[in-house]
Amino acid sequence: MSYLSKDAPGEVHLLMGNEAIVRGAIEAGVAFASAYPGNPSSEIITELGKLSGELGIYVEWSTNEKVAIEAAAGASYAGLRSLCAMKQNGINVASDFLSNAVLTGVGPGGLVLIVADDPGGISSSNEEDSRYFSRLLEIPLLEPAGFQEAKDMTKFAFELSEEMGLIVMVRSVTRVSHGRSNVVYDTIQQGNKTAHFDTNRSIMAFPVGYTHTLLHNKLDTIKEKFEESDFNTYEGPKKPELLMITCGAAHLYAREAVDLLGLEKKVGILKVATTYPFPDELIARHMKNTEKVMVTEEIIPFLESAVKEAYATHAGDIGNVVFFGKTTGTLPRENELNPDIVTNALAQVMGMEYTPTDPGYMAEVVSKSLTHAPYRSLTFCAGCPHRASYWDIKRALKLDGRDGFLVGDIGCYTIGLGPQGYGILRSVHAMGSGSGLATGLGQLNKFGMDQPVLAVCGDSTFFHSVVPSLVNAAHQKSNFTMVVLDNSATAMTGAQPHSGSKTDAMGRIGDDVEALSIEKICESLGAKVRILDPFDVPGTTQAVYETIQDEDGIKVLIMRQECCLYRLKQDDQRFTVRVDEEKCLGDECGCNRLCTRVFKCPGIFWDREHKVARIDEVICTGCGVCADICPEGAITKEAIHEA
Amino acid sequence: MKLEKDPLNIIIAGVGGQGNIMASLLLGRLLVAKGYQVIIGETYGASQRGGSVMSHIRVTNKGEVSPIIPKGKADFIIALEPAEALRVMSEYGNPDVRVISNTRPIYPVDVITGALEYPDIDDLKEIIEKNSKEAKFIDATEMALKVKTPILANIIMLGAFSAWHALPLEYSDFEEAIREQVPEKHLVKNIEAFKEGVKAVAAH
Amino acid sequence: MSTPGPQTVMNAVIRADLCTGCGACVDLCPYVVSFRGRTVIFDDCDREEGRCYLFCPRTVVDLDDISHKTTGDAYSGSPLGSYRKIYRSKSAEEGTYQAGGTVTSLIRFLMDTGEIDTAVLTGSEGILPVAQVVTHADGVANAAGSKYSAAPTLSALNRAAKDGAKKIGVVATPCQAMAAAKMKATDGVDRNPGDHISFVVGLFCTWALDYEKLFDYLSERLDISTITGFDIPPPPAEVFEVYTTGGTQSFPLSEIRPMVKNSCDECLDMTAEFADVSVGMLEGDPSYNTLIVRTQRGYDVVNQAAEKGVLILDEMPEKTLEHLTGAAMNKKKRALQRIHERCKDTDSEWGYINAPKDVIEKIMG
Repeated sequence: MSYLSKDAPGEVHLLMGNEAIVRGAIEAGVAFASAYPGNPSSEIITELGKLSGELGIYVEWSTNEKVAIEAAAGASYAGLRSLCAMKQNGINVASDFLSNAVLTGVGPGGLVLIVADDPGGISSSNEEDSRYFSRLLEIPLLEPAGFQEAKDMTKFAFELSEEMGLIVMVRSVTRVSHGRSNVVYDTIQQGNKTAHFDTNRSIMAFPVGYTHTLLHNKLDTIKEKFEESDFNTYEGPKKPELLMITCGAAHLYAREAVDLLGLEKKVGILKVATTYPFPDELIARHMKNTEKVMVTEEIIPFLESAVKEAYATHAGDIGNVVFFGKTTGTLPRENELNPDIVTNALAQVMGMEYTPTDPGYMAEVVSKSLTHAPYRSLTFCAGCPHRASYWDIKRALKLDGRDGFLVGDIGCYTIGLGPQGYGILRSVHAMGSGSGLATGLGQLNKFGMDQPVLAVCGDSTFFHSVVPSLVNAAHQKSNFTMVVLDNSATAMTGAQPHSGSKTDAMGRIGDDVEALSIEKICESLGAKVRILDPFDVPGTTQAVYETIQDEDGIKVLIMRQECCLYRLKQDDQRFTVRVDEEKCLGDECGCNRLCTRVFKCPGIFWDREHKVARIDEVICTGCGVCADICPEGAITKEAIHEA
Repeated sequence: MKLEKDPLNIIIAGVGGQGNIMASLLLGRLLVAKGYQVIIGETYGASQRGGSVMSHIRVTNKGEVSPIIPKGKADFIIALEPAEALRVMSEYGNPDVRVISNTRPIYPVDVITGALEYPDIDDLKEIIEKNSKEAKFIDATEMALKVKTPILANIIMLGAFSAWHALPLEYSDFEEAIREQVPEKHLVKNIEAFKEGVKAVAAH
Repeated sequence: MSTPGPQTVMNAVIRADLCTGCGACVDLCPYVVSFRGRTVIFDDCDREEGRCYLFCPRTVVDLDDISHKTTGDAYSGSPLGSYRKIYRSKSAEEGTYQAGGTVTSLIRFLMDTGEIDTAVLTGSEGILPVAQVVTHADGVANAAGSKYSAAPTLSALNRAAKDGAKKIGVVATPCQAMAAAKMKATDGVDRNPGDHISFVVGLFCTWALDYEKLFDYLSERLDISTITGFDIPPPPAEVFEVYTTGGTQSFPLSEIRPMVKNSCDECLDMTAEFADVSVGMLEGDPSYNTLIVRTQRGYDVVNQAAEKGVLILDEMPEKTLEHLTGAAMNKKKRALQRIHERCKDTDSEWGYINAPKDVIEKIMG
């Protein structure tokens, strides 16, 4: 029995925002859940998956987000409460289905879509604000502004979805999804666990004008509910000097800012949690009591625009109001908010000074940290097979000498863009964009291009979006090499299984799960496929070189070696690695620190005093590649387990 | 359940892979069980093994507040790596901050390649001491290596922190939390490690 | 050439397409290899000093210093370089050789008498010349025969020295012989293969082809795997002959010349002036070689070989010597002109050549 599924109403637990969402779904009696891993949403399906057996529910990592939302919709049509989770990029992939589903409706089982955005793009290739999809496609939107609310609103979302027959979107951000706080549990509903598809129904959007009207009628009803919703709260004086209107994580910063500046008696905070359809009458009522409004939210001024529209509608009633927010330059338009940004902005609007602490102290410590706290760049883990793969590919490209290059997409291997990945990856866009670009690039021989083109993807990405571009490339006989970096996991997001894995979100193995073979799929497309071990530096370098000489259609190289974090978890390190100080040339001519300066594995460090390389036994994961590349044979590797 | 300072702000800082999050969870759950409102903010995701990571732990009676501590407002810093102590101090430190830090460096990849230098550890300690109200240094990784389990450094540091009695918690509260949250097979080692941390501070 | 170290080799020589492909910098360290005749840089070295810079025949060469240290004479700019005697020579031993077989016999002699324990030669894999370490006299003959594209022969010297060879004999083209001379002339550097060079046999060379260009050219015209050898018959033929298992094919030299390596344009040395002895064809007589004896050591070895009946030494015909001298002089002049054209507006107007002003003027005429 996990703490998340405990039947213990009233108990208080420290939950991550994503866990609170899971708890809310459990309390709502969810039966089906699907997702594609994406930070900051991944924990939702991971945790639900662990509990699937106990709860008797179905949970899966789908191939991509469109498949995930469709799978969940299927279950919803069969009467089961279903949940689908993704990060901001995922809703782009799912959007084509969503654009139809708003008109066809869902249900009878409620369908809740959780989208977790990543303000600042801390682990994303963009910092998209998914809320605009709710306006664009007209999907009811809820934004929990804290951890208790994350649970409560998820539960509410199912109720609303079922009542209205619509997908309901719950939008979270990193600081809510990954933050933790006290959450009070409620009772667990059993929820319908009997599936049946009503064949008397026709699920379609035709005629479009008619179903669109139906949608609008539903949204009008929802708006009335939102006007009265207890999720929208106000704290502060009756007639505040300044009204802060916030939503999501920004609400927590707003509370902090008011507290830090001691403005409880002057500033009111109106938290809007039901942001589409927008409860404009509620907002108008509050705006009447003030002449200054400051809107704080993440990321794009979605709430701010809605507030201003509400003002325009009710201006006569409201009177004069001055607005502050992202559109006025009071708050930055890009990057994450934090309590300092909001506090400084609030101070500025209120004409106050704010000094967090002794400026002399800050100046002193900041200056010391510049010299004494060296920056930690993003790099591959010690023992990561991608480091070896890129090393091998780099060497092959140099031997080839025709200025070959890699295009790719999102995963740990995105590090190939920078010096830690030897800079051989030259472009990154969305999932599958590498092979997408390559199928075009591979046709450009007739325009005089003779540079070898390579596309790189991970094993999870392969299933997500690479297959369609490979199909295209196979059909059009495009000339490029597809490098699949197969480390047996969706490693970047926490090593979740995918369609090629022997297990799934529910931990099943054996007959219930089919581990799809990447090589068989590629072979069926007529590609020439080779499976390589990136840790075999000379062999893989040679294979890559040979492959890029072949200009006839697509070639697939699967570089297969387990993610080193996997090995660590299973306590399965291969080698004990040591440096023989007598043999180590260090920075002398003949080596010039190849292992630390060029190979750059963090498991090795350069001892400046003794002028030798040393293995950091705490960091090294025992892959042994450094031993193979050392020009003097000074690094040795000793096998730990018998083969 | 009154707090001398509200919110009380604790930062656990280190390098990705050191068990930062596990330590913050241990402390957080313990405090929730004792009836406090706790808000924890973490740096996750792209802060993979080898990157700087922080857990911000806020103990409060004021309801849900920011998971990220405002600049210059840390009360305690527990650092699993010494350069990280300084890095965190440069954003969240103040003259009254109290710091407890591991002494074993983890070299950033740019130091390994020779692009940057890692400071002399004695210099680093001096700077930390000079800019805090109180600072203690524990050779936590060395202690953990003695039992061949370097990851235990985080529990040792937690033990050291507990000996400061910064929070109204007893040793028994910590031990109970460890028993509840750590899997059976690792229990004995973890409790031993925690005790070593307590002893290390008592010895200073 | 601002910083005289590895960066110079990488940027001002290799990346500037002035690399001769001699292999002097190859296998000294993991950053540089030779692949299909091309010098490949895997990664940049950021050391301020490096053996690659000191040994490379296209970084600054103090011709006077090298000449003194090799032959004992000053660098005079004379067409054939410094020498004691010129012979027409041939092997006295039985066997099939290219021309007179002087090189093969000399190397075998050096090995048999223990003067060298290792020979660094140039063999072939298909039509690709490859650097070879030979430790047994039997292996010497396999490497016989002219190569028409540049080979990284000195990489084998570097490997042999690293593996512990103590007395190495090298058969070297002029650029390779220059690099070997620089190695020997360099003092106080650890792991210097020059410390283990016992004897250098130089080869005459007018130019060398870029292997990859040659390969592409020939692949379009015939089956590479059938090729057994090449030849350029004496003027006025103007053809490049390719011997195959199915007969000989001829290609116009005018189509071959564009494939000459860029670096050859800047080479002043036709007869390997800094070797112990230098060997080439003898104009008009394919059964002999031209043998130029330069150093005291060269002189001693050649005489011993003659005494032991291994080599036959005869007089060098005057007319032939005149022609050879003329050709060598032209190569010097052309090279200096090309260098000056490229470098006249830079810090170093004569490029990598460091020679007394009057000598340069003498060559330019």
